[in-house]
Amino acid sequence: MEIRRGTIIAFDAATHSATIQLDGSLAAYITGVEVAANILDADVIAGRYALVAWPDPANSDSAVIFVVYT
Amino acid sequence: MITLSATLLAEQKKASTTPYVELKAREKIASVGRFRWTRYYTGAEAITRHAGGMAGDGSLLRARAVQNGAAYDLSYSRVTSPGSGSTYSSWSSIVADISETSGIAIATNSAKVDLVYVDWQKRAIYVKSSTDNGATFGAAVLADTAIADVTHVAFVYKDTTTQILFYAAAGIVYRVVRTSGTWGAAAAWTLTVSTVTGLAAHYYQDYNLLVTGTNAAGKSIVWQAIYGDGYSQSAGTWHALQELVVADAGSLVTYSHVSIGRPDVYRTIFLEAYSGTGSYTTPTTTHTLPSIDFLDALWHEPWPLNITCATGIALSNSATHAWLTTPNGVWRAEIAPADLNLTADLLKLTAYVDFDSGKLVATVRNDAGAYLSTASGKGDAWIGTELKLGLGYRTSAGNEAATHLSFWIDSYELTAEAGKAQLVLNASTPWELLQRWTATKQINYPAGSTTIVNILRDLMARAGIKTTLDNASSQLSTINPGFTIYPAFTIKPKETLKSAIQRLMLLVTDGIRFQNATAYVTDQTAADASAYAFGTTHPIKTARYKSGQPTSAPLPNQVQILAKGAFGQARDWDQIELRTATTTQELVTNLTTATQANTHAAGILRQSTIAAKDDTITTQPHCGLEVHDVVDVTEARAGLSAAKRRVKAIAITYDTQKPKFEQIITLGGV
Repeated sequence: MEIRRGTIIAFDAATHSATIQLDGSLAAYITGVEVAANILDADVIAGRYALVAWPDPANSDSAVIFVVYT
Repeated sequence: MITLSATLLAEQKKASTTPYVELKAREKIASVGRFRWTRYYTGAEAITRHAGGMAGDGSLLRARAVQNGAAYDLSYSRVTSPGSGSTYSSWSSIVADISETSGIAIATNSAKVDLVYVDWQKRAIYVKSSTDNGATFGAAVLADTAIADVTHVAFVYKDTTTQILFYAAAGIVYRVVRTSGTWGAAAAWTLTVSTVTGLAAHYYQDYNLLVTGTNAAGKSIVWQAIYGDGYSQSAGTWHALQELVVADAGSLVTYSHVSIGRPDVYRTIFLEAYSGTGSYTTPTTTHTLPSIDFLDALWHEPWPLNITCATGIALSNSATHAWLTTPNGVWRAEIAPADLNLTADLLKLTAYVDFDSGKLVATVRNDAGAYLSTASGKGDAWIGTELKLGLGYRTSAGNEAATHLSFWIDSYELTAEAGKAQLVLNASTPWELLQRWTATKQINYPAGSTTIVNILRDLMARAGIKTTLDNASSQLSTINPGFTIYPAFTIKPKETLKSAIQRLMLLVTDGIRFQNATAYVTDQTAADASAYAFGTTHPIKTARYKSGQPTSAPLPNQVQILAKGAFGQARDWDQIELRTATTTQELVTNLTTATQANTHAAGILRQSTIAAKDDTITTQPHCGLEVHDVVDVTEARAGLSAAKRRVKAIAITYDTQKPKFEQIITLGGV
């Protein structure tokens, strides 16, 4: 399990997923990161911080945003 | 195992030998030459669009736009026999009223030189040609009139018959072929980008281009493109764009003004700009690996150049030197400096390599200070230099050595006392090159996009290391769809390449060993054949044979893989019977079939098998031995008769004073 902090760049309500800029990644974002179901759409706002967890660190598709905060 | 000559093989088994240990310092960043730039000129010229080139007679050619009232002239400089004392400040205005925003290009082929510019209306592209190494030029010839304003030009020679002009206008790249002096019609490429902010071309086997700009999604990208000439791409067709560097839309990072050359490998310089708070514009450079095709698109991670020029940096070369030029600067670097041979002054060394690390400490005589002088040594530039080690003996065929081990210097020190001085060089294997690289952005390989081996090749290339498969596992094969894995894999900011590669290799059962700056990937199986025998014709001097748990951490004898929708496991029944089950469970969601999961479990269990033996034997050095090799060990007192062992680590000690030349080999199970 690996946890990183990032900044929300964009949110797709249809897929309940977000684009995240991880701390330290100046030029590149990670797209399509699932947002935990218990986080409301209205809370996933561009510019807010998010904590992202990778239950399987070797698989980028396993990422999930489990905390959103300012 | 490195193949040795019959004489060297025989010599290393003898009781009495004369060691031959060779040590050479090489100007290499991993597998590629390290260019050390010396600035030859600092002028006061305004920074405008410019170009550079090297004529067949070695003259350095430069061209730039110079403001003349409200217009711009094309100014030209030719420096014959350029050197540190040459005059680089002499310019001649040769064309009036050119466009300053359309770019300039210089192309050379032996004594032929072409100078490309665009007139002040930004659409008519002219070429002035020379047949005397750029000393004189003929009248300008109209090559093409673009349908939109030209923003970038590049011109390349295939040979004396065929040349191609590439230019960008309104985000489209066009090509115009000149055949035996006759210009053809312009044709747009078949690729799509939104904007072009830089364009460069080099002919070798195909027409190889670098393009900077943005795509439809607003990402800033450095692409490579190939206009085929029948090598990697069919003649007259375009290969799809391949991305070298990508900055996401909104990240405020952009790329522009790219140049390309091939003094040894493909090299490029482009501008990277960040327009957020703390903005910067930095020339950034990178190169490909040796002995690969442009199509392979394997580039070192770009790094910044300590040069300031907002219109890019031109790159050209002669046979011996590479040159960088800007309107107000000239730099030169030797392409392939001679190796510095330390062999005669080598006093002692210790070298160590294992599965994922390695160190070398070499002490050389430096009584006269030669190695720390810039004239006869490397001054203070030892850091990062490659040390190529040769292990061998004096045989009936002369001095022979295996030279597959290379180390890169991390630090050096001088010890001095009355009458003598020694230089101590501390160096590491390529694993350290991978450890030093730290990600500054997210690098993502989406699921299904590429294979593990292609990810591995890309990651290794970022440190300048070439990857070669050598009896690799079926999971790494691209021809076995039942096993081949196309994982979702990402490297996060601050992660090292070493960490990323080790994480990637968890998906397969293969091991990595380095020969100089090439990574060889080989599967490790219980069926691996022995490549050499110790304890029979090659004596063992001292030994310790250890079996069982090597550390306090328990070794698993049962491995379970929780794959995505599948389960796999492997068991060591003998160990389970002796100690009951010690289980390791791993979540590996990149694996999707039971076959993949079972294979992966077997690979992890094999690590237990290797770790469960921890023998050390001391021998006369085997010059070609490598980690991961399987060898036979015979020692009757330990009950070993041609027992198979896998080489886990090798330590070499060489000391001319004692004298001493021996090898301690750490062996594991197979």
